[in-house]
Amino acid sequence: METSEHKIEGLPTYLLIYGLLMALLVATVVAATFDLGQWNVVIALTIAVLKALLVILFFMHVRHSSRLTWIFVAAAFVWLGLLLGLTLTDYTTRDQPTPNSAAQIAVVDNGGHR
Amino acid sequence: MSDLVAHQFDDLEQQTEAGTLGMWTFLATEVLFFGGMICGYTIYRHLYFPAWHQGSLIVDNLRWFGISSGAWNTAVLLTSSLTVALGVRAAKLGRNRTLLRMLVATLLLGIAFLGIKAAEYTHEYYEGVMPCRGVFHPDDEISSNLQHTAGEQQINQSFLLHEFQLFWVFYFFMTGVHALHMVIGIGLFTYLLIEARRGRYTPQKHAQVEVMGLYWHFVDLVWIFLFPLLYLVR
Repeated sequence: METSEHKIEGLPTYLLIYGLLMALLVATVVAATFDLGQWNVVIALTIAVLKALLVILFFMHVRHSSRLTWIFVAAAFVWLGLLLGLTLTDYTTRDQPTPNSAAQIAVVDNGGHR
Repeated sequence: MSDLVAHQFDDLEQQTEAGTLGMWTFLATEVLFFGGMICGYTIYRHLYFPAWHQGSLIVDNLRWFGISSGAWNTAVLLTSSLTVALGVRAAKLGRNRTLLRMLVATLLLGIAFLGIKAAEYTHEYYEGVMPCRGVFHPDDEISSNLQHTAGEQQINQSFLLHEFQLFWVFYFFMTGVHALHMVIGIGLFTYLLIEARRGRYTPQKHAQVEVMGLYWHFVDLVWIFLFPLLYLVR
């Protein structure tokens, strides 16, 4: 049982990670009060990714997990990347629909009703 | 010792590893399940930005002590993740009393999360934004904001209202399915609490605590993304 013994994280590590998570929460709430245009989304999602990494690596112990577990975890996010990446590539490179043109397309789709 | 290891496994370590991998396989399907909704949300937010912007302002306007209910709920869930992590640690070290305390704390925080969520849903019901037939009647203030936006963006008012309604369909599905996961998590942790009280978990045998802990952390992880997407993105 010696092998699993050294995997137990110390109490200070958990408290530190919790402190960081709460600090990131405060940062994201404060950042949202400023109008930074497109940067608001970038900042909010970057902070979310940082929080997610802390939770996955430390709270979910992936940091100390086997290589096989790493592959399983990575597979989940690679597929998520494909899903989001390919779909959004499509939508962002189409002829940019304005709210009006989207509405007009909807009218055509409905046979002009509504 | 041999009682602990089921006959298909070489040793305890391999058995624990199999449990962790099994849970991560399930969580991978969950990543894609929530990922699909987040993907749809992102596309429509891109297409219908003016209407969806109005929606996220309403989501974020329920405040206690100047801080939005979503931020309070994020704090509650992050704290519950800490208590879960400390509970798993206590199980590994064989500290059963600490494990029991952490399980109770996690359950209370989980219930607090659902309570705050219920307060939000109630608030949104009275704002008239629940996207159901007969219930969806945005109040005067929201209607006039929408009218103003429609004029400003030169969008047909009835289309804008439909786009606004679609925001709420996504909002209630995403948060509703997440809340369902919380309810399941509370059920699982109630089971852990009952078993821990019977002293079922030892430093050698605590795979259930670890695996259900992974599930709880994952539900927290989903909220970490739902919070900025639904409440903060303007």
